[in-house]
Amino acid sequence: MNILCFKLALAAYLAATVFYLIFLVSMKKGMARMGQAFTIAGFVLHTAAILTRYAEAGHLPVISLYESLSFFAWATILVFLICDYRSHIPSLGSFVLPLTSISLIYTLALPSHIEPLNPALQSAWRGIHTISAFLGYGAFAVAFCAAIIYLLQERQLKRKKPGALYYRLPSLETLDFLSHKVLAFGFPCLTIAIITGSMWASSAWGSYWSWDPKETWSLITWFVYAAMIHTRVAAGWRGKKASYLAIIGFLFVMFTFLGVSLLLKGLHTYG
Amino acid sequence: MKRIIKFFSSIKLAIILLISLAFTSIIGTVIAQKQNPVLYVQHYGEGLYKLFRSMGFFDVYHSWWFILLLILLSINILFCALRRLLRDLRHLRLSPTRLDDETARKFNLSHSMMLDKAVSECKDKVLSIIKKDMGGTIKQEQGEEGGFFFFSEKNRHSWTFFYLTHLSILIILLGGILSAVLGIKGYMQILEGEKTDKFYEYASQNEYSLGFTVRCDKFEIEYYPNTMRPKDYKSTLSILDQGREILKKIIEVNKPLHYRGMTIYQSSYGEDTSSGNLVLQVKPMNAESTELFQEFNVAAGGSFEFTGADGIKRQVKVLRFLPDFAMDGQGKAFSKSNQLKNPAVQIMVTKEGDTPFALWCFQAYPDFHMIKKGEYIYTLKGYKGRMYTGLQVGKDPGIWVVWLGCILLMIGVVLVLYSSHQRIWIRLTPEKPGCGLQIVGHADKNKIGFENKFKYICQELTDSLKQ
Repeated sequence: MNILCFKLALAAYLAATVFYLIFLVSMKKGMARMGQAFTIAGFVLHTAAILTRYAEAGHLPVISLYESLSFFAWATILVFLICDYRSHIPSLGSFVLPLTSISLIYTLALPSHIEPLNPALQSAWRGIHTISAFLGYGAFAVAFCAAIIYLLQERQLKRKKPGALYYRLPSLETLDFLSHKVLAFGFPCLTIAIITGSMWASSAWGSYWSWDPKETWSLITWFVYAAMIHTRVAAGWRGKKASYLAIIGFLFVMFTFLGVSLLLKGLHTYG
Repeated sequence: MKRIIKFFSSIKLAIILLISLAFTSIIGTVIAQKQNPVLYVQHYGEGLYKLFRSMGFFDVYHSWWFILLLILLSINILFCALRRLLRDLRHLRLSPTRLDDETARKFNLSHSMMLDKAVSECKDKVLSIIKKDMGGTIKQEQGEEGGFFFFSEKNRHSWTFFYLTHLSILIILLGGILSAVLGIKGYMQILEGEKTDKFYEYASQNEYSLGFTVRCDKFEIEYYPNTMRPKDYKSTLSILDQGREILKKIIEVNKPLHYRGMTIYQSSYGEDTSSGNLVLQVKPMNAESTELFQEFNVAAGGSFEFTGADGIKRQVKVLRFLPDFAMDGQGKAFSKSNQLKNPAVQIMVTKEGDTPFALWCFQAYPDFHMIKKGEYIYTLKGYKGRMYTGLQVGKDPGIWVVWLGCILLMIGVVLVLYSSHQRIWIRLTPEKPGCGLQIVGHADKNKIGFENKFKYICQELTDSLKQ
């Protein structure tokens, strides 16, 4: 049941990706509206997939890499839909949807069975830790997309005659504002994730911080985003510089999320 | 002196320190930390090992330069906070509620319009609009010469959230220091039914006294069906203090026990391989009927004798019992853990008048016979011994300081990013005909968001007053 819902959701996201990409090259508003409709449909199905899997497993299904990637995509779409609802930037979809679709297509190659929980994972902290971590990842993913759009748009503006793309991408101010809003959401999420994780570690292993690679990398990412927020708020770095930082920050997020589990050894064997 | 203060309270230093901490932290995730020196030499070679050791790369997070970075960060935060406090207090004192020309010049969000209505007519409309669009506290003042002033502000206390976030980080670091200096962490293993009042520290392996006695009354483990994956394991512990039984509690992973400042965590478990009994089955090779099968209970290290169908006596001696058999790089057998994951026994069989020979028997692979020349097949059927519970014991007086800092940080980081101090001043001055209106606004954060709001308010004012 959950796998079926998941595949339908993926199909809807793929359709949305196609519509959003057509929007980007054709400038037809109707395409963006179709993209949005399919994204919402996909999101509803995806939510249903996660809920049914939750019911089947009896625990929040974010254990295996398959589940983690799926939850990452879900959180990213959620943040995107909120942004789209609040400031209506359809071209953001042309970047967010391909990104999430790629991560979901990758899950098709992974084992999708429900894994049992080892004793350390059976904790009340797991829910809030996982959800805040992934909402943070989702927000940083959206900020990454906004940064890419910003750089593209900036290049359009530098030309003597702006290309067709110029008219489809939002203004630089809108993008900068969006980036800041999304980072201001992602950073507290990351902070809460790290702290609840350390509270959990304290109850499970008797040590609130043990410099395990995942812990350390989440702290590294926290340092990077803390530095970024300070460059913006206090040193006034905006626009292009801020966009490069948002892209670099997201690379750190991705390494924390996937790289650590795949390349380094530690307590988090899952995504 | 002034330059030193300026250096230590600069935001540039904060950014540099954060980036340095980020990059130096990476080292500790790439190079395995606090390993045996022998392993390092094997992996990196003598020269690189010495270089890395001198730079503290094998224990990055406790190296002098990492700690120095943290100290610098603390000083930086402290200086920033102090400098800002002086500034904020001055602003607080000087913050005007009446719009004057100096204030109007100071802030760049400003808008003026001429209206053909009198001050008294506009007053109520202005008030209703700022009430609706701004909210917050509103101050109205009648000025001299028939003028009228409005002042509205929201999130007046948002300036304090800076201190909340930044000081919470200092509190966390302080807690970390307390943990490191006053805390202790160790482990103990107690066999079911036994008790102890001692534990061993992880780092030094020194023995410490708990100050009370812990008895393990029972240890239970539950597996996921048809696997050896543990689902849950728990110990029933009793605390004895000065001979009296104080409390009894079942602990499991994620559910520790607290007593007299010590916390006892369920961390592992294992088999006591020295006191238990092995069950060995002996059967003649090619035997068809199970009647000839014999089972022996033998202690690890013990032996037994039996007489075969041929009337010859055989002695079987248990050489080694490994609960979790594995081979190391050199082909030597060792036990990966003290858990019955792959039980194996090495026995020596001495047939009277023949040379003794040794062989391994595996419980999980009963058909695996290493030696064919014995006419008997020896199979390990099981191991029945006592289990021990592996407990982590610790005392950490810094933890409450850390948690306090963490809670303040979580609250602070949300507030500091979302709450901005917004102010709007409006001045109505009588002109002929009608009156002039000037509006000035300022927000300390989220300036773009506030600018949109300011524009909206100006639009509303124009719409309702100019018609």
